[in-house]
Amino acid sequence: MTVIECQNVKKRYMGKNALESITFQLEDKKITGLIGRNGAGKTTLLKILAGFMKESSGEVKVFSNNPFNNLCVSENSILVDDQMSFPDTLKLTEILMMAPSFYPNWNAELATGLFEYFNLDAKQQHSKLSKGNQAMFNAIFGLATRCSLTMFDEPTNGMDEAVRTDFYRALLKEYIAYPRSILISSHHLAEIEHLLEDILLIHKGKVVFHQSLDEVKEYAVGIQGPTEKVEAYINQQEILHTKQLNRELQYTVVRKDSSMKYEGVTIQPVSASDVCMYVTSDTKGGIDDVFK
Amino acid sequence: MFLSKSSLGKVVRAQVRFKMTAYMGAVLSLIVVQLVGLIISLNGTGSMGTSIDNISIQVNIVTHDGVFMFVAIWALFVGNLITTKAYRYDDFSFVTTRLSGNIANIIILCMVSVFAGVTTFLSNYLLRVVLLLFGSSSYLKSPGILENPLSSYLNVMVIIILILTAASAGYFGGMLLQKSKVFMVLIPAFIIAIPVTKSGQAFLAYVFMENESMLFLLVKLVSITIILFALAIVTSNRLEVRA
Amino acid sequence: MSNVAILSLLPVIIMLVIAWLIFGGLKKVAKHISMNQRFNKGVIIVYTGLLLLAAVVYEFLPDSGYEMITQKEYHQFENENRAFKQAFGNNEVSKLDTKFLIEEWTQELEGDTFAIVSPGSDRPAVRGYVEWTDTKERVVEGKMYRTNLYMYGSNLKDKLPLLKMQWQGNELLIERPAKQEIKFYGFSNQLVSLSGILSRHEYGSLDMQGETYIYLKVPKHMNVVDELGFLLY
Repeated sequence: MTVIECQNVKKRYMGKNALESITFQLEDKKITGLIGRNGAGKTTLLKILAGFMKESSGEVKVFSNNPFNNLCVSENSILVDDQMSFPDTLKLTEILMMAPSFYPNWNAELATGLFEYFNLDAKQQHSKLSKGNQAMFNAIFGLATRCSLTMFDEPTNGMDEAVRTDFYRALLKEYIAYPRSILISSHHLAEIEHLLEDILLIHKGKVVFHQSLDEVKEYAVGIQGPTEKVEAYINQQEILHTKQLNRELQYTVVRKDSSMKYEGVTIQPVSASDVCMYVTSDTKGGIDDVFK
Repeated sequence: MFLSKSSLGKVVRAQVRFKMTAYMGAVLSLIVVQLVGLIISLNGTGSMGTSIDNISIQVNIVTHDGVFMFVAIWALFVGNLITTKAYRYDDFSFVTTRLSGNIANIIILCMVSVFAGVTTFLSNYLLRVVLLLFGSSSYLKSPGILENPLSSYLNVMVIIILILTAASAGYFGGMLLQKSKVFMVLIPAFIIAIPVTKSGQAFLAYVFMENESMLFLLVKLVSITIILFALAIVTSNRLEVRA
Repeated sequence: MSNVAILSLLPVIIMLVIAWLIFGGLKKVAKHISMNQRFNKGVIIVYTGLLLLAAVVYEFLPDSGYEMITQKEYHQFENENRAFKQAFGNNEVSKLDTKFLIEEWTQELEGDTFAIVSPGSDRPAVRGYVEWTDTKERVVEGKMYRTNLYMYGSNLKDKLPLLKMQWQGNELLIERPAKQEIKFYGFSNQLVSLSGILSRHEYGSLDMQGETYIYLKVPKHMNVVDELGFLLY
């Protein structure tokens, strides 16, 4: 079953095209990573999916409804980000007590369990929490809603290393206990790679690819060897990244073509995270180009 | 995939319950405002004097007008306050649509107005008791609540509806401000224009002056309030959140 | 738009600005007070309770105040006053309502002359009438009446000091009470700001000052020095 369906979605925002043309479908009960560089449009896309913003054109469907002003979407989806706000008149525990009347699947046990594990102060106000604790509370809230579509926008911003690891583990366990569609955005794929089944890579408001993690890992190969030899191999292929290692040696990343046979060069797999980075960079040589 | 489906009514009810606890601070500020109004009213709201054969008679009329003025401004402010980002965004951390959030806000404003209206009316009795127990002047026996229950009831209703009208004006104005900063200039200009222009004066006269009875005034005020709330709903139905 | 209207708006605008500042301050203060739900509820309940208590206490306060009259009573009293005035004007002594009679006396005088005087420069508000009798004695009979006096809907007749009539030798002194200021509180269930709008108000329209009447019976043979013009009637 399809959870999200986007057809040529555009969004003009602050005089710029935040989303150029987004087309993808998201299937049920998968953890998908929404990957992209800063300003790629991840947050805008998530806000449109959550019904916070309205697309300028194109078609957005979440659970077959347009999410903007749709009660069903609001009830069955949640977007956790660092702008989540709760009234200052309520203490954290009171917020958690309010939630079940909104979210019928609310898991109070999980919420209190995680709340205590992460040592959050029950009497504290949401806005007075440290950035890390705020992020943690939001994440707990998001997980406990058990919404069919749970979206996280950079959920670990502000969390320290140990807490991040704990959070990812909690996310995974909750997902296994109660499978749902999870869309988690990050500019740092390596950190969440172990959670993901699918990757949706967007760049400059466009979908670059939407593939399973395994496919992404097979997306490209790195060819390393003497410059002339490497260049001979790569001239018909799309170069994703290239780097002159020293006077003779060159390292170039190209789209993987299993029919190709390589000789005299070493072939290296390219990690998913690197693939995403190379695919979305404007120059082929990366930062080195600046210093040429 | 199993999707839970709540009706609009159920969500609104949950939102009203949520806002009742979340906006408690507003009620507290109402009490502070009323107390300030009461202190100012201690000297009386208006006085009338006559003199007969060397005896000058001064009657200090103590009413809730002073308290009411403050509460009306408070209502305007609260109506505006709950349209601000901080309050609108809170809704979107839970289940909501713009419509359900608006309906819940309107219900809350109605409830708060009833509370504000009744307490404003009763605050006059607090003044009466304080002035009579601690004041030196004697007093003219004035109608209590029970002497003319219908009139008391109508008086309370008028106060409640006036407060609600102020709240709805604040609410609509707030939504316009959220829509565009242009209204920062337009709204004050509009407010000044009402008593200055001919048609504005005609409007004020129509609403407040040309009434056969209090019921007419009530009906007019309720209509204005409904229109303002409806406009607020229409205005805010496209507002983006966490943008 | 007249200047008056602009001027009358000024206080409203100033008040708005002040209120805005107060609320701004309140908001800042509120941010620093972490409010407890139970405390909030407590304050609200106590406050509401206090107001209700005040309304109840007011009903039971010792009744030192004066009863308000109703519109109906008002009309009745007004008619009484009118009837009295008419009767007095027509010299129909028998028709004068005795309930307005305040004092009555009979005075024997030494000489054939007496004066009706009032100390002070202002003439007291009083209507007088002198009836001549045929008796040969030197006896003057006097009656003073006061008709209904209602101010702001309350009966003030017993509360206000009234004119005094007294003999000093051959002078009938009609004295005004000493200068005095009497203050009352009046309370209203209505918004006064709407009272002009709603045409009818609890106060104001229920004013009825009434008048003091002095009726004298004087033997024909006596001379009256009439400073107050009683003889004109």
